[in-house]
Amino acid sequence: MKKLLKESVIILIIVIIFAFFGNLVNPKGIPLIPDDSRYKIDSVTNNNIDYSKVWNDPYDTTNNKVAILSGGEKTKEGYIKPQNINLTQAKTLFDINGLFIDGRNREEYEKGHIKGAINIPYEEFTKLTIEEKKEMMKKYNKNGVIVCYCDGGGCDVSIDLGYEFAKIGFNSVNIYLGGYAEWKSKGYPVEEK
Amino acid sequence: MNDFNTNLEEKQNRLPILKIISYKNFIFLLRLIIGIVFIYASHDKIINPEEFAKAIKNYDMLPFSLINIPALILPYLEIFTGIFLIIGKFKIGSPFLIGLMLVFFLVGLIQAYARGLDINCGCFSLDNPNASSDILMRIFEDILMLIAVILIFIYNYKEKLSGIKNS
Repeated sequence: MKKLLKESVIILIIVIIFAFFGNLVNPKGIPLIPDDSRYKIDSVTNNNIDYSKVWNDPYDTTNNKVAILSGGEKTKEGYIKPQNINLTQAKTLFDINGLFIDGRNREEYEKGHIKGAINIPYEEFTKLTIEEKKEMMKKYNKNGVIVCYCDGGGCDVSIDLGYEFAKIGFNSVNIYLGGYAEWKSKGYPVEEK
Repeated sequence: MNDFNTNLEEKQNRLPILKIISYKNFIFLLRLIIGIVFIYASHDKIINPEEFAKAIKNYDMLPFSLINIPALILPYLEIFTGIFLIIGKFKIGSPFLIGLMLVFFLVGLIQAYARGLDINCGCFSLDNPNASSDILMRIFEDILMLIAVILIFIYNYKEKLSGIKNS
């Protein structure tokens, strides 16, 4: 028993040392405590905007009007950081014809999605080259309001997809964290099979 | 406790196949298989800790602020215990820790299955952290490996005991 404890402790010490230094030298290393800002609603106050007067047509690529809710905060990589939004904000953007993009796979999308949403599965999109991504998205207005979502409840694809769009030049990317589950539970418009 | 060697002979008499591949070699084979599985399972996670952290998060068992710690430590624990198991170092510590990991994985998999979580298990490859994988199959594999590692542990433990007796 003593031997077992001793051996286990030695192994664990070796492992912890290697894990610590391995992580330091790994170019894809991660911090010990993860950054949770990815999963928090951003405090964007747009209460003074009259949404009924805001123009938005995601398919009109000729209009360069600066979009709302972009936040405008640029990351050090040079793209505009997507905003994490809540249900109320998502509904507002839905009402002004924002482009809803469902990042889940095709089967899940076909089972049911937010009304009018298009499906761009993250798993497929992320495998494309930058040029292919740009080519695929060129029919959409770079300044148009985009709202990415997935299941909600901690799914990551909406966030990852949102950042993909921001990186190829979309300036008003929003991530609706509540996702399809919350949207549907509130009885907001959906399309179901 | 019976003498270790007598015990072995008894086992060999009971199961004729063991006469051909002695129980010792059988245990060595198990060590090799489990060791290789664990080393193989660790490599992708060591390179991509962030993806592995996401896989852990999907199991929804740990608070978010704690997911990076197992994401960093588990892959190294897998590779080292895998290597030690094969080369026969830390003969009781390494199968014990592997067994412990398998129990944790089993609990995670079963609770994910019971709750109907649609997730990738993050067991081997992390190519596709958002796709669901065959959890039942993984549970089955986990149980098989757990049985194998218990056999290895018992064998090594008895070997150690008899070694102490003989010396």
